[in-house]
Amino acid sequence: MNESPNIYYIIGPLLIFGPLFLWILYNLGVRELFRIPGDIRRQRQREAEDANRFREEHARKRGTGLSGGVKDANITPLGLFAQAVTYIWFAAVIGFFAAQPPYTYNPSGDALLKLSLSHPGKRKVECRRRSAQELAKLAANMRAPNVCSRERWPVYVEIEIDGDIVFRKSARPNGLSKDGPSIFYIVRTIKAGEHVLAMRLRERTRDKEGNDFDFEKNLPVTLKSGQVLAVEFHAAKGGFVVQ
Amino acid sequence: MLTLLQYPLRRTLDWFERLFDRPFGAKWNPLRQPGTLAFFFFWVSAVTGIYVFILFDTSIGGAFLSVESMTEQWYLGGVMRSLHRYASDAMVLTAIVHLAREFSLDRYRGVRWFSWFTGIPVIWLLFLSGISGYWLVWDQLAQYVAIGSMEWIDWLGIFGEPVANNFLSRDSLDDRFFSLLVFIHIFGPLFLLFMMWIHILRINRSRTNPPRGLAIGSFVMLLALSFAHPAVSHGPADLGMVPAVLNLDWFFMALYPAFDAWGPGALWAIAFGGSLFMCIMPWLPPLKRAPAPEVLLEQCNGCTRCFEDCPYGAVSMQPRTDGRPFAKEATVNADLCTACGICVGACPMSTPFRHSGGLKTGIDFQDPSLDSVQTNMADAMQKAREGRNREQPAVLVIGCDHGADLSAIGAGNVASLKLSCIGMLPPSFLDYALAGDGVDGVLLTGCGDGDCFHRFGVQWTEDRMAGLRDPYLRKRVPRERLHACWSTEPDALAAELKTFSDRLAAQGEHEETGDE
Amino acid sequence: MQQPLKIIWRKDFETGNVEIDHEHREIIHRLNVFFAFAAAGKTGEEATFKLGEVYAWISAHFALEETIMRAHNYDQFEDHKADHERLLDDIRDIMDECRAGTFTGKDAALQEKLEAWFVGHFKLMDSRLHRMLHFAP
Repeated sequence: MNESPNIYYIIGPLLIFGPLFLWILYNLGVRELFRIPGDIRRQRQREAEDANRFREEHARKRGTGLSGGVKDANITPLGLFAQAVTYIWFAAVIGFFAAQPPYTYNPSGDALLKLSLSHPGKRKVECRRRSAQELAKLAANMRAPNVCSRERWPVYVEIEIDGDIVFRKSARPNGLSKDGPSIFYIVRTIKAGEHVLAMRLRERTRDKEGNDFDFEKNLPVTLKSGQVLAVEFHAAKGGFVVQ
Repeated sequence: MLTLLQYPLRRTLDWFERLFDRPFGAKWNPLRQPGTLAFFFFWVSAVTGIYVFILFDTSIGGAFLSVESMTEQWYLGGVMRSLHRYASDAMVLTAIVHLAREFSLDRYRGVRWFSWFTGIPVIWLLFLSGISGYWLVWDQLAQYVAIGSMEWIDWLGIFGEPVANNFLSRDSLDDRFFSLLVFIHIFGPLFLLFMMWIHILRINRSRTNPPRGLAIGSFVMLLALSFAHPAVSHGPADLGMVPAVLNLDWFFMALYPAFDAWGPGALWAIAFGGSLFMCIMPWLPPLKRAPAPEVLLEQCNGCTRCFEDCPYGAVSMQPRTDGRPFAKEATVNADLCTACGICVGACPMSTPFRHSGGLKTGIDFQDPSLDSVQTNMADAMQKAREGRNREQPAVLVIGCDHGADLSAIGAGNVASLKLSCIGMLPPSFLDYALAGDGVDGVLLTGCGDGDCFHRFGVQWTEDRMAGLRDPYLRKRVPRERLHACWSTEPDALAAELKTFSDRLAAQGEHEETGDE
Repeated sequence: MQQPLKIIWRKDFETGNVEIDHEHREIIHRLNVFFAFAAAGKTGEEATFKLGEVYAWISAHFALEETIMRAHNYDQFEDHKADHERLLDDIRDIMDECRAGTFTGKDAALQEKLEAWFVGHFKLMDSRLHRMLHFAP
């Protein structure tokens, strides 16, 4: 069981050796890094003096040029007081809108069903095995035993709550060659309370024969107000998995 | 059409600016320099952010508690956190004011499109920085904002699986993804700073720091707010529950309720459509580009005055090309030039004491050439002199394209002359106007209170009159016969003109009856 | 006709700076043209305009000199610039006299003024500038 180190064993050496280390670094080279060449330093000094003189002259001469001009800052006591009042007003605006007015996200107190699934559809053309002659014709490193089409069928998903279908859609496979998984991210509100939830997935769109669903799950749920029911899909775990 | 939109906004903003001028003075008025304030609030956010980050626990388990313990330390950690939040809110507020201002002042079209255009990524990065910061608290608000943001991004379908999967259930979010959120909040503001730098690149002598008094006042304001109304978190995030009531930070999250109501597609349309529209605004409609002035090499010796004065960095000094024995010549980059004419006013050759038709200077427009300005001025002075009498001395009003309207003036003893910017006026022209055969007084007018459309016209003019900036106005020119009215209100101009005329008439009488 | 005033270029007018020397030569030439003009008896408007041309070229020259001084951090910049401003004021005075017709072109006082300009200004101001430019570190 590790004990956290006594803080003084860290601070102490840091305080002693830290400055020493920095002092050595400084003298070894950091000082040179920051040294300004003499002529540049002198030029900057001159510029600073010029700027100061300019500022004084400017302050003195303001008003002898023309009788108009940019009004200076108001530093009278009344002015400062008025500024303070204005600042308070600004602060109130910022402070208010930083947290007000409140926003009711879920006014009806419903629960939320979130279904996220990513599953590849069946391949459009079923894989077939290559014959021995076909394999022989191929180069040695290209002898994959199966030939599969890349394109997949869209996946069809249905969700039913208490007998009413609230979602039915097929999603195209991802990818330019349409060979990736189909992805669903479904969010539906459900009133709090007891419900029967049915979720169905088919790995291809229906054809003339009217295929069955490949994965199905029916489950009764009791949902509290504001509860999030998250459902994922893992084919290996048997399909729909409730979190 | 555009003026129809700009005009009411300008009047409104103008009213507020004048209102705030009274307590602050023009120099410290926050509404006259919101851009500098936005920069300042960025720095406050950055510094407080470093402190907050040092004490922040970047794991999901520890994030919320580390922020809570910071907040509990009401005198330090809590203040830093609140400062961090309120400074970023203030930055959004000042950025919006800045945007509205520049639009209403029409300072975004023509050559100035670059500043406006680069401001749009600034807005995006500011938004990203603020939102990503709220994710890190990992309270219920963070949960709401994070899930909303991810579902919005997922509409684009650019990731292999929905990013919102990371927020599906209590076990979905791991430390690794949370670290990514932390990363976004560190590099978002860094890119924001980079973009802010690009935003000011084409502005010569840009101001990014507010005057000290304003900076101190704003900081104290945020500090007081942080003590009085500390920033607090909501309850800890729970991905198994939907948050009920949220205290949104409306500065950053105003669009999230819209997202809830309309879905991601509509919000992308708003975001993308809005950004696209703002990007093309500088060309709706395009500003009619006045041609840039040309450098006339026979009169240019490379003295650099035009180069120093150009507000847009459009003039640069290049090695000589005409074989004359000077080191440099001035060159105008037409892509950066707004044809303000300040360079013409700065050129030492721009003196009027020459033949009409014979006035050649070092840098000049083809049209209106400085020669034509001299002719027009002579005509105007003639008109004013003809209308003059005892009580009404001859006054020449010189104004600009963006200042007060001069069309109402110009009867009898008053004549007017309009330039593209008051900074185009060479000081020697004032000498000319007030000399022997000239007028009794000259009234200069231009944009008010530090808001010169061409940034430095008014300031350079003032400095030239005061003998602080080359070319100086000759000391022998009688200053009591000069007046300035830096305001865009037509009433202000008329009032100042009256005051000035009366003063001139009184002076004239005094001179007549005095020691002549 | 009065012998016109004329300034002859002297060796000690040279400052060693190509730009400044070129402009000094040009300005002296223009001034000589003006003096010839004035000595022929023409005053008033024409003379004022001619002198106005000279004024413009001298202003440009002074501007260039000041830029060079600033670039080299010349220590006597303030005084030299004050002299420039004074000289330009003087020219304006002469221009006003021209216009008023009180300038005769035969005025000995003017000649003294001119001597004061070139000899004085050159000897004191410009030559010191030349030394500083050439021997400064």
